[in-house]
Amino acid sequence: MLRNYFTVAVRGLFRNKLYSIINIFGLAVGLASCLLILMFVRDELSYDAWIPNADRIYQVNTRFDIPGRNPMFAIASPGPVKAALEKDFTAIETAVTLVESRPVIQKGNDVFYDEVVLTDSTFFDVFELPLTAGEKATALSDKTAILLSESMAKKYFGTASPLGEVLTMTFNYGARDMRVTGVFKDLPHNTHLKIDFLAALNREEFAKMPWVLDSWTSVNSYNYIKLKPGTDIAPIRADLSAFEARNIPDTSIGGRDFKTADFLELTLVNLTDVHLKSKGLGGFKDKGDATVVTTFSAVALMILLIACINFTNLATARASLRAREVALRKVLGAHRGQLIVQFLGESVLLSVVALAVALALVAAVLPMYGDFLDRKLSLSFADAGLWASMAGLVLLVGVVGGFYPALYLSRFSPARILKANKSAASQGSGRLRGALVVVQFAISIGLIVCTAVVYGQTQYMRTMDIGFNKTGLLAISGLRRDAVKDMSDTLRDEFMRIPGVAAVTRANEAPADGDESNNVIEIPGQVSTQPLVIGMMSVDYNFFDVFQIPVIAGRALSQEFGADDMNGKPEELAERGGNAVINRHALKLLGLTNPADAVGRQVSMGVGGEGSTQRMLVTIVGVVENVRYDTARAEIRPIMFRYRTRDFNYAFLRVKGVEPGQINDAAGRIWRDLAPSQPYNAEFIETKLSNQYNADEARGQMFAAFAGLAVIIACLGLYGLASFTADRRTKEIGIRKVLGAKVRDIVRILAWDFSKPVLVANIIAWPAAWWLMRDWLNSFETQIALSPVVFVAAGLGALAIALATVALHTMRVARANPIHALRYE
Amino acid sequence: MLKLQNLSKVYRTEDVETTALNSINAEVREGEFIAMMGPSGCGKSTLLNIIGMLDTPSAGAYLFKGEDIANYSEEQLADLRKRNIGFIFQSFNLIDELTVAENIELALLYHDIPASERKARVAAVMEKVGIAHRAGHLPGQLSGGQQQRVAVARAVVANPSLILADEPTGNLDSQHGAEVMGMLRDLNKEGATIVMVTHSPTDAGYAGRIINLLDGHVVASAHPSSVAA
Repeated sequence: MLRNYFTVAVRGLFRNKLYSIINIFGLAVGLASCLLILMFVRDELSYDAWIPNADRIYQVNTRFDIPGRNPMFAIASPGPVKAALEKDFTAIETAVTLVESRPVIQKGNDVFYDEVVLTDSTFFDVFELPLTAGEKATALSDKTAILLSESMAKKYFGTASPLGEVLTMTFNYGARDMRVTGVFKDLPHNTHLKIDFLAALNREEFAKMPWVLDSWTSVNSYNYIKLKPGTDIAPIRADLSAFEARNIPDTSIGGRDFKTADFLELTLVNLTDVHLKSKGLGGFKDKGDATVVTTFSAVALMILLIACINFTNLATARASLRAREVALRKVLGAHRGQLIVQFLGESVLLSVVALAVALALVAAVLPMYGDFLDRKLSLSFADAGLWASMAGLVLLVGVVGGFYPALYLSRFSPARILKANKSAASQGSGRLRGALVVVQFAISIGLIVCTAVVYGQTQYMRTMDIGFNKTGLLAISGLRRDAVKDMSDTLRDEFMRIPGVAAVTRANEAPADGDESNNVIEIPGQVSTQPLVIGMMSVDYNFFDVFQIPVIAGRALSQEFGADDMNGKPEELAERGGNAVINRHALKLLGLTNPADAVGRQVSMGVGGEGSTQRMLVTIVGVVENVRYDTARAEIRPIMFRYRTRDFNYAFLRVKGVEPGQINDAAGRIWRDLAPSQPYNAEFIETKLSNQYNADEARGQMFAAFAGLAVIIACLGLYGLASFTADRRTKEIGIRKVLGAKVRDIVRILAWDFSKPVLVANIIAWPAAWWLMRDWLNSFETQIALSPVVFVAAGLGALAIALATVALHTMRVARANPIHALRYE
Repeated sequence: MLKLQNLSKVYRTEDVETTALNSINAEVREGEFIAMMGPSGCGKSTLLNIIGMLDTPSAGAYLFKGEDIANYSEEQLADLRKRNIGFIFQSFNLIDELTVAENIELALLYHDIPASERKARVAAVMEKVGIAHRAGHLPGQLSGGQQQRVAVARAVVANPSLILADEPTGNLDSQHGAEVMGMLRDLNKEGATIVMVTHSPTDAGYAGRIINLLDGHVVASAHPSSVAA
């Protein structure tokens, strides 16, 4: 029996080649898309799940509710949180702090610049990572202990054993000799951690930098807790706000106390969720996005649906060809159930063939796909999950695509069909086909609209006016390093001498850094209900000039005014006051709308950092236009600009009229001359800003590719349907032609028939796409408008593609001699 | 073998009611060879479909081997049909994708018969109808007469007690038609009951009894010699 089914199915496939090719190829492309997306999704979901006991490990995240601003999220957390959590919750087995550091590493005469993660001795108790050399228990117990990954061991020591070797590392707190105590396996790509070096975290070294480990208001460390086996996270989560109130002391700035616990909220994210669900500033590497994973899963399903619809449509369209077989089998005693099983089996068989083709397609594009996603993806047949998902897909496609045809075909009543060899196709199946084509094109048009909007937004973010001239601006970092800070002025002067450098300026931070430091201002004689939080930037006198940021009221900072210089001790500043410039956004804090009104106003603020009681009066001497220093996702903040040289960490070179690469080389030579022990680090601002949107662009491209595939599959189906319709309608068209219709009239009739479902599809696609895209665009602080042009263009594009697809068949039928059609019908 | 009592069939569409069969009373005895004749539209195909359990009557009783099956379900009818009835059609109705042998085997597939026995029975019946040398060919490669011989083989391979033939020679020239009729006569002699619908008086001459239908009524039931006269 099965052999008979199989014989009929296979011979049928060979006899109807066009039908088979469209079905198999369409399904194969659909399945291949699905498998590729599935691999991406599985990979995204696999992050950190491989770490032993990941279910018991939680990362502490932070949320700041700064008055007057959207909440700010950070993956990092305040340094004191680790000890406090361990103290308050007995369910915690152990905890660990990780601090990122970029020391200069010297091995003999060689200078390297690699990232080092400083951590507690409990690291391997939390993250049970395998060592290839050294002992986990003691590896981090010494103050000079350092471990490195296998690839770093190779980079630094070649094939020799690194154990016991010494590397001199210059940290923020000074140069230390570190001794290698172990080598760990390179971390796979599917972890949120990025660790090349692991060094002992010596807390006393940070005494002069309290913001790293001792401040509740700065987030410069990553903290993890591991629960005891069998304990529950829920009670800890429930107690977190009480925990915050108990443990977080008030912050004193300039003699004023702020209830820090009110602004700060801690959350605990399970390790397996960190990659996709933690959000905000920081992170060892680019984060994933749960929305992206959901979106692509949905796209995969939609592509599969389009392919299934092809199958259903072609199968019911061809039903008349199978009618005789159905009738005959019934005459010979087949039950309807047996026929349903036969036809479902056929569609599953077809899916299996399509899967084989799909696997070949996947294997062919996988290297490219992996490069694109920047990760190693492989098609491993030893992977049970892959087999399960493939079997699932085949069954899904076979059953979804084959179900209706099986029901429909098995319903035929044999008596009529066998008598006259007549077709049994009814009106009903034609209407269903029309509806399904509408669904296919609705999905296609929707995907086209989404692609266009995503592309438009990405382009917009890259090219939008960000308030300053980003072109030809080279940022060189590291001025604040101990070995360089005294050379800041010399470096600036030397950079100025490079031919082609029009100007040099300096600042504490560079665009797209994502850092922020804030202070709280008060308006004398005015009591505000909420603290007025303002961002602080330290800039050189010529900063606005070089960045080409327009001054909209008052003046820029200048050497000519002694009070513009805010260097000096806190007590000194408290006594003499100083001048600063604010941005337009800061006017709101002062309760002003007109920039000119701000000039001459005075505000008071703390000086000398946390714990200092000194306050100073700041006179606003100018207002500048807002600039978008960070991504289009971040809101524009109120900023106060002051001149304070010790904060400068970046030199910015404005390049004019020469090849920017030459400037970079020349600046590098100067740096290496003056600061040979320090690595030279430079980046063009335009590139840096643009890189912020690389992930968006990559996702956009992936989206575009899969949208394109969806359209191709839908068109394949339409092509098959057109060929079927053309055959079926030859008689009707013959009669029309005999009655005097011209080729042009016939083409118009057929073209209209195929246009209708595409036009109707717009009615479904437009609102759905509009709704989805509006939501997506709202995740940006600045966005493009949803122009109706995009929607109409997508609809017209789909129509054009559809008509081009059916044109061949339409022309063939329209031009055929009616005599042939009528004689043989 | 079978008995029809006041059997009627009415087709209804939204606004038209067509009476295809009107109070038919007829009986077919074991071993008979019956030809049903009558002009187009007289209801003979409808009657044959009801006898073949492909259609159900609107009223009246259909006793098959003494059992009234008028109200049987589709499943029950399918089982009864596959055990008792073989069909031969005017347009052969072979499956294009299957070879001669596979087409014949199809009639055994829905019975629980082991593959080896199926093979043997198919081989035997092919021998009997003289188509064994074409066993591996597809229907498209055969002449009309050969195709109908395959259809006859398929109808009889399951050893049905009743063979229904709907204009079996309608698509054949006279020489091939005579061959097929000869086969039916031989089958009848071997004990099969045959009911055949035909337009051809020549074919009707092979039958032992002729039932004439007109507008849904049986108008005559006679021995063929009286028709020929």
